[in-house]
Amino acid sequence: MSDPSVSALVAEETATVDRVQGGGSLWSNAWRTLRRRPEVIVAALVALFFVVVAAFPRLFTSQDPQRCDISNSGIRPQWFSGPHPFGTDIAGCDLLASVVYGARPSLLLAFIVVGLSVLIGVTLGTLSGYYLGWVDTAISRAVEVFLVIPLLLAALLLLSLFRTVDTGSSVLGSILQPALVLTAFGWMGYTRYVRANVLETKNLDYVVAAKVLGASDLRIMVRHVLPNAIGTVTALIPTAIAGVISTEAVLAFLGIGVRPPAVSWGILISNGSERFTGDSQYLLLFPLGCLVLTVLALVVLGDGLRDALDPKLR
Amino acid sequence: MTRHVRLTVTAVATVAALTLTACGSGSDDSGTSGTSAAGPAGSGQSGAGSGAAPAGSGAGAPAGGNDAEVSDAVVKLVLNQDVDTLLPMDSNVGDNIGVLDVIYDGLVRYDPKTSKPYNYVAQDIATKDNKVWTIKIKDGLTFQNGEPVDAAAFARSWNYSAYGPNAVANNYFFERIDGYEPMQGEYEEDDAGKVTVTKEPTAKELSGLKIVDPLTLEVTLTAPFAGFSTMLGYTGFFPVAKACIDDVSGCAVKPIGNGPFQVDQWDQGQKLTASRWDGYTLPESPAFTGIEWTEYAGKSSWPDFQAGDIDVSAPPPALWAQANADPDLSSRKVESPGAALTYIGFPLYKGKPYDNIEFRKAISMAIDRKTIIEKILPGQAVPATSWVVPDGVPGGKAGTCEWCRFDPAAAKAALAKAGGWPAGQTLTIHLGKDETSEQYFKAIGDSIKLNLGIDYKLDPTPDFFDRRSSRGFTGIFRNNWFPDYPLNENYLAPVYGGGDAKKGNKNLGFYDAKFEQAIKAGDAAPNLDEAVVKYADAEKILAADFPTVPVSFSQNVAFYSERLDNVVLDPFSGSVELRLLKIKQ
Repeated sequence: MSDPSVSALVAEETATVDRVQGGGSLWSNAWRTLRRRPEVIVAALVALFFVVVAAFPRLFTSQDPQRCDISNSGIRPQWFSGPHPFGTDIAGCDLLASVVYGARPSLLLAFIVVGLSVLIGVTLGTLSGYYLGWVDTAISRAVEVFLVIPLLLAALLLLSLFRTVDTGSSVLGSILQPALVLTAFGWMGYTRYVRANVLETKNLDYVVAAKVLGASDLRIMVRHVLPNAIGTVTALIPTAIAGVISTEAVLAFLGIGVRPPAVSWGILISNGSERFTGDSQYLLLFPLGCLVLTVLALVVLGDGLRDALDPKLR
Repeated sequence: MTRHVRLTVTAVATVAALTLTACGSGSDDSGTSGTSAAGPAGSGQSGAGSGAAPAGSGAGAPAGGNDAEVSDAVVKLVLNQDVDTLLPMDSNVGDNIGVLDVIYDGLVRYDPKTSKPYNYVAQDIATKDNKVWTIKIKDGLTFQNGEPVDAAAFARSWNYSAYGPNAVANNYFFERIDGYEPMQGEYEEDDAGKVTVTKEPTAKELSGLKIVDPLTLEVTLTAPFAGFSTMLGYTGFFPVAKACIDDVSGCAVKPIGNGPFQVDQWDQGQKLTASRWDGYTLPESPAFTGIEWTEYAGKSSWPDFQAGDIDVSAPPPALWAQANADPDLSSRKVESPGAALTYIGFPLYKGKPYDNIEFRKAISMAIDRKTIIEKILPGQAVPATSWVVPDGVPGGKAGTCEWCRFDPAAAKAALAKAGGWPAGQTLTIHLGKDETSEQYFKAIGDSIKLNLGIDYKLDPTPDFFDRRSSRGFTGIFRNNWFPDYPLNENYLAPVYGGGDAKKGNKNLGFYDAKFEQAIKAGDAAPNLDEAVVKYADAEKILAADFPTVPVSFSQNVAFYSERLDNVVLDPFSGSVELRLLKIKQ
């Protein structure tokens, strides 16, 4: 989201406003605030670590998570003393490899869902806030309709209805359905947020000035209104990603999330919980630990970002 | 101790509830206590036998023994499968067979230990040539609605099953009786069970059934079959009342049986309750007053068992080790060898590579049966090395399957000989929707992937049987054969026989003329012992053709609650022998 050219633009356009408030642009101010909070730095590093795990699983394990030897079933964690640092599950699959490769569907799903939701939300929110009238009416009603449908109910219904549709066994194919459903019920918040900000921004003097000078609607929206409206939305993103990761775990627990044979953290947690009361607690604790750590890091990061970016809280 | 008390309380509560239901729809919600409801209890029922006679004196059964100590308890059992009918003619899955075992009585019953048949409703079953059989029925038996159990009752049921357009599951059992062919016609059945007849059958009744006198039925077979009397204890051969044929859909939900229990109510998908029928006169009668089956549709009943709501259950694989390690629980465990074979089928009708025996051998030898069972289904299965359960039924012998051993090197060699697996393709494993078998077949798929390098994916499907019979599978599939009667023929002819010479049989696409001949030779044998030997030859032919891969035989295991006693498992269905079960007072 913090595309340098956008930041530059924002800096340029809002220079006067910000300088009055305390010098530096919104983004460089935010950066300065964040830098001073150690917990945010740690959280960012943890989140970054898991992103690297998802992007380059081979750096962390040489095993194939789909290669399961039943004769190696149920090995307890060996740490650094054997080929299975986290042990193996009941089918003999290496747990470290499963957790490492499971990060990709989990995180990719979260990024896709939040990315698409933000895109839809920002577009619709800007349009509705800028034009008002019937555009606003249509979009706002749509937002309300989607908001009253509980996410889990809708996800349960849609995902079990289309359970039999084959979307292929690639990583994208296995997360396609949950991604679509979660996006369909995840864009409303951003729309409302952006709409409110646009309503506020579009009456500012510099926007009026641009209008008077004859700038087109598109130019005003993209270059003048949006950059100012988007800050608060950015602060929501890490928390939203954390939310989707947890939702994926819930869906997996209900058996309708990411599709096997792809493994996700949710599926690992769901499988591990079956045997938790036996003596195989590690099967649940490792994936759960990764999930909790990632979610926690993202929430802390989101919190810091909001403090830094939301001018109203300052 | 506390659990015991709670159990008794629920049991009593259910008895009260049951008696309340029994007094008919008119007087519910009146808030009467159990005792005051007991008076009018019988009056809601129709027919002669079900009067308000107190349980103990009921029918004065002579050789019962059980009757002396009838407990007031309601036994709470589980239906795991999605049962959709209780019609004997249409019941062919373990759970409705298990229920009907106490609702109906067959001509013969099987000894739970030796699985040998003995006459029960039949007085005598005689034949001279194995072709014409004379069945004499005991006098004075009635259905729960008062109709007599006579030769006509059996003929009625068998004719109904044999009539093709009725499209019942047990139709094929009657193909050995004369006059079966003209009754088939041509018809199509859609998913909702609606039958469209495209060609009317030319006969409505089996010409081979003759009612000699009210208690004598003469059956003529198309060809001699020494095992005919052994078949007669199967659910499909139970008699039905006339009232049942007049209202088949009603009878499918509330059967009119001739057994020791009658169905009170069935909320399909939820719960099935049955209570003692006081008009029962034969000796084998359960020693308690009611049974309540709760339907779980594939979910585990174990948590409810541990909470004391269920009397018999088995833990899911994940909790298996824990349950067995618990000294209290494992003291209430009963185990017995089962008879159900789990095997892998191939879509032989799809051609390459499935029709290549080397490919099938490769799959078979790539599966590490012993370790997989040890880890995934400990104590619930044993590796199979034959198609007929060894020792369980006459003619069963271990080791008839030459390629059922685990040998990764030989498996790889066989795959190479078969021309390998098409690169980039994924092997689909079709199976029914069931948590345990999904875990089981994941391990089998892993074994295949590990040893042969074939990528696989599981396809758990809720309409497995429809897809199998319409040949809708594109990969290998899980099958489970659970025998209907104790004879090795039952593992062979119904599964592999009767196919079209070109297209093969319906489910598997298998046909071998030599196999058909061997089965025919067995059927024609003068006595059962010789027949069994001939059928064993058919198994050898099957072993050479290797159309399917035997994986494991079931091992029946059940844990039971503290109040049950004398828990014996049926070797076939694995369900508790309700007629032997006792309740601790």
